[in-house]
Amino acid sequence: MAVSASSIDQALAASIPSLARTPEPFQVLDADGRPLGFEPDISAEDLRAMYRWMIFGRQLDERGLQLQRQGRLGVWGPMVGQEAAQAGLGMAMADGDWIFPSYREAIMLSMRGLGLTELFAYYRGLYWPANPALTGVFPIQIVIGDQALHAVGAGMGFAQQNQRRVAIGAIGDGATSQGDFLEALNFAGIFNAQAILFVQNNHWAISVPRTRQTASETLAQKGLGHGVTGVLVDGNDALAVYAVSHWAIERARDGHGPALIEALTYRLGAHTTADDPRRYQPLDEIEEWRLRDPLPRFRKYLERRGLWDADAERAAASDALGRIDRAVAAAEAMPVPEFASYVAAANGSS
Amino acid sequence: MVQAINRALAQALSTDERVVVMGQDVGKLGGVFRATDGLQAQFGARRVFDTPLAESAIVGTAFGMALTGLRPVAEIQFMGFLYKCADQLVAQAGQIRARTWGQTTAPLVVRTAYGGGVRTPEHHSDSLEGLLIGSPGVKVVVPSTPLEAAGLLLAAIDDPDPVVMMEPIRLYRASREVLPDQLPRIPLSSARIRRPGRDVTLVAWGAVVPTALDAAEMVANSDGLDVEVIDPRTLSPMDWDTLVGSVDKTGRLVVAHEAPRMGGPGGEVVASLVERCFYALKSPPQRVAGADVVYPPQLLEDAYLPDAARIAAALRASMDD
Repeated sequence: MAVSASSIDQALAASIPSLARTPEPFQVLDADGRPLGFEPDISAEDLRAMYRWMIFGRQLDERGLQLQRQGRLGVWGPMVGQEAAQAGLGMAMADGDWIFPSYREAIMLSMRGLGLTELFAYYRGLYWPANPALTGVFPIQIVIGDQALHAVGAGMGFAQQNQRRVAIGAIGDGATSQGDFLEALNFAGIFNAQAILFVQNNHWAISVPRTRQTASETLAQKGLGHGVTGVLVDGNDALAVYAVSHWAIERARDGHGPALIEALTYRLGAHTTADDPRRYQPLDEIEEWRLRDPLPRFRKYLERRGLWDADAERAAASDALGRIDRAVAAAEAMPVPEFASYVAAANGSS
Repeated sequence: MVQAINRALAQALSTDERVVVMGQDVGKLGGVFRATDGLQAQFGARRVFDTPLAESAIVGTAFGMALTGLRPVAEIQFMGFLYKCADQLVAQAGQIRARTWGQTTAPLVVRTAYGGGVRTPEHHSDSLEGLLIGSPGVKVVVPSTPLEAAGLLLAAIDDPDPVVMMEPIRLYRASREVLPDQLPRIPLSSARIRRPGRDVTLVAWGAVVPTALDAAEMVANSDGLDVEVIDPRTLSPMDWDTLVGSVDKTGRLVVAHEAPRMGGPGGEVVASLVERCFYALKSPPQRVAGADVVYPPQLLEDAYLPDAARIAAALRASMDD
């Protein structure tokens, strides 16, 4: 018996899962830094600190690029445009929480206690010199997406041992195409891991656009298929990222489940110093996102609240530069260890 | 052997609260080979738990758990599936010690059934030790007796680094031994001389050890050869001292394994021993290995696997000066 296409469509309607609506990115501030309504409970000092970290990130990027061009760093992955996403998450994490980062996250790593000297030492060409168990910052992941499983595994371990810690797996949009990311979501849901998968969707995985990573409308909705709460946030709205991250982290800490956060942002710089984005990034797209620069947006909010001014801006920038330059000098003064000591450390005693 | 592994896991779970056992089917079913039989009932579903069917995630999350201070023992049902988690095992868990300059290690054990001879379907008979011994950061143990399976597993669980225990499917039920109440640890990287001898050194591990002992017996009866059979038990890091001592004494070397010959572990054993014992050698070292071909269908596997006759022939060939 022949079945017409329209009749099977009708018959299947109740059996095909669908999103009732496309999620809208959560925002606290409008494009001009005016509160839209809900504002998170955060102290004036923390607000200023968060913005200082964003300024620090921009200075760090400029210095990183210079140092790479001078041959003093091996490679640098610029963060420009993504400062709000990073500072928002960094502020929401608590002492004792762990982060498994990718390679474009120097702001949050610095916020979480990785010494800047150690960071530069790594980029200069040494292995990871800071003990992750002390800093909570695990080595930068190079194999895209692998760290999603490590964060979920750590979050399973915290739950198993009744430790009130949360592990963050920080990844980019490209990583969401990896099987390991999807397996991590799946395990996180099954084991109620004290873990957050935080995706900075900067729209580009080197030269491949986000639209080539998935036919799914958002990355956040990938949580749904794995029984994990997914949430979409305006990644250029520092307060929104902070609020969502804080909510998700504390929820996971209390054993109420993992979360997938998609922070919508944009990579205004190159993938790394080895890349030439002019070959693929549309100029109008870059211009559009330049107008959404997260720094002026947050600064306007702070200024309206009387928490910031031009003097504070100058002081923050010069303080950041001073710290960066001191750290670079210290990293360059670190002696290159003997190869034999590397072999001994890498292979252990046995 | 499977009961010895079960007993060792029970002993580790009861003496060390950091130990957890995880994998597909390790819970209620007790593992497809029953290696984890009864453990969930005894130690609870928090410490002995089934995972979704995803090898990469089993090893990747076990690594994450190990970083928090737990001692996960993860099961990958068959070594042929190891490729799916090789990245997490080798590139992640295996490299964390080096990447952190020794400050962080991953105390993680991956148990996996390997090898042929029991008519398993495709992808269930592989011997992939050659891949692993070429991957610094991951240790590899292969037991050939029940007591050794238990002892090596206990040592692997105590070890600060990732250890893969390759469990020979063929010996799971064929190899039996009376087990003491308290199972003793066997240190990693300690080879065992299974049969002392003067004339030829025969190196074999896992399921090939009983075959090697048969071959040694065969040539003793037929040719009066006195073969020394050595089981390295840990393939990485290898106990070279014991092997070197034997080859220096006998001057002749045969290595037998199930893995393919090309790029196989036997090549590494032979090369390393030639470097160390060159002037003691009286004849060219011999390898008896699986064929250089994809593992065959069940009904052809006997022609692929090294048997006592092939090993005996290699032992005799090594006597030709």
